[in-house]
Amino acid sequence: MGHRDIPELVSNRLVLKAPLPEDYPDFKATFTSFRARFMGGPLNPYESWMLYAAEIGHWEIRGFGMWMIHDKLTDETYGMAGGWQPAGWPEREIAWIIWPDKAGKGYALEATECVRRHAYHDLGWDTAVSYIDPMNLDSIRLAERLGCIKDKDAPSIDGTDAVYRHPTLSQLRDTQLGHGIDMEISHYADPLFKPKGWALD
Amino acid sequence: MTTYTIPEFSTDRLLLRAPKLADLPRVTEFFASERSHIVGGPLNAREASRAMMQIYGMWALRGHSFWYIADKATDIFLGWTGIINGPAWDEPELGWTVVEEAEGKSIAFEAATAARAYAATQLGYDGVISYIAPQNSRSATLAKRLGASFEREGELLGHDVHVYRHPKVGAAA
Repeated sequence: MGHRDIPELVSNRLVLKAPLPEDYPDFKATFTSFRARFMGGPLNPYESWMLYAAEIGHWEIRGFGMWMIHDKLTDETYGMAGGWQPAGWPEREIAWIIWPDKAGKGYALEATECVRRHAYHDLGWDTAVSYIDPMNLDSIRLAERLGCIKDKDAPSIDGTDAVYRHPTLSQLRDTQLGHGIDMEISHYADPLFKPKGWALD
Repeated sequence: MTTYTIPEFSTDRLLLRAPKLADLPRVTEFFASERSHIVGGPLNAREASRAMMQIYGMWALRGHSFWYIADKATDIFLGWTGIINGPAWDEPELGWTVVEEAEGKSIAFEAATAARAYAATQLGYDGVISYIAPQNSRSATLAKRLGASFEREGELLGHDVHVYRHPKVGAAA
């Protein structure tokens, strides 16, 4: 499955679509900013453009990849979420990135859960990890809200990243964990659930 | 949904086609070698696979990119050629790179000639430039053999480069 066959995934507030050329400016704004410091950035314009090209190309190589996260009503983009496994990745990763000024609204949680559901139900994955910079507290917090547990035994990419293991489908299906995640997603508009005290960007 | 198609075509001995996962070991081998320093290498396996993925993405983003050059009979990866116009590029560039085994057999010439003609007639890029590192005399020789001529000194991604200008070939092709 390549770029042309990317399915659209729909959640409460979001639609996940194939990354397109016209979506690039928001990607560039994020990856050339301080926001990208935990993902090899900030990148220069050439590096950012080549990374976006690689995000698209990943679909051709692996048959899965990163979706662009859109608002269901306005079509505005909020970030990307999806599967990621370039050569050298120990196993399949579920990854996400949210544009800095769209953070704090639960979009990453909702989009990533949607991607994980698709990976388990439609792609037949039985496990997945997320590789996270140990200093990236926002992402570690999100991984934990998604039910991930730090897997100290799993190989990391290069020893500088922490491996968070996602719960399996059976650990999510009709369990307290699964219900809790569903509830947080369905209630995220409530500011009561907004995490406090993390990095300000 | 917008999407993209990578055109494929052949010459006497070569196939210009989309990258395949089966090419990755040879691509990785190339990027691990000192030979790749002219195209940003040496790169590790992860970076080499990203270089392959980028080729697809550039087709999606720009409607042009590189083709992988393959032996027509065996389909073995021999290098790449095509048009690149990234940020920091002055204008669309015709580029070419071949693995060591393909050198001295006129393979880069055959592939670049075909890619240039395709770009001129099908993609609308005629009279393009090639950026060539000042010390890369083999590529400069090939540029001249392709009918290109030295136009000026320039700079690309922090490197000094020589800019060669290709003749317009759209009408002739």
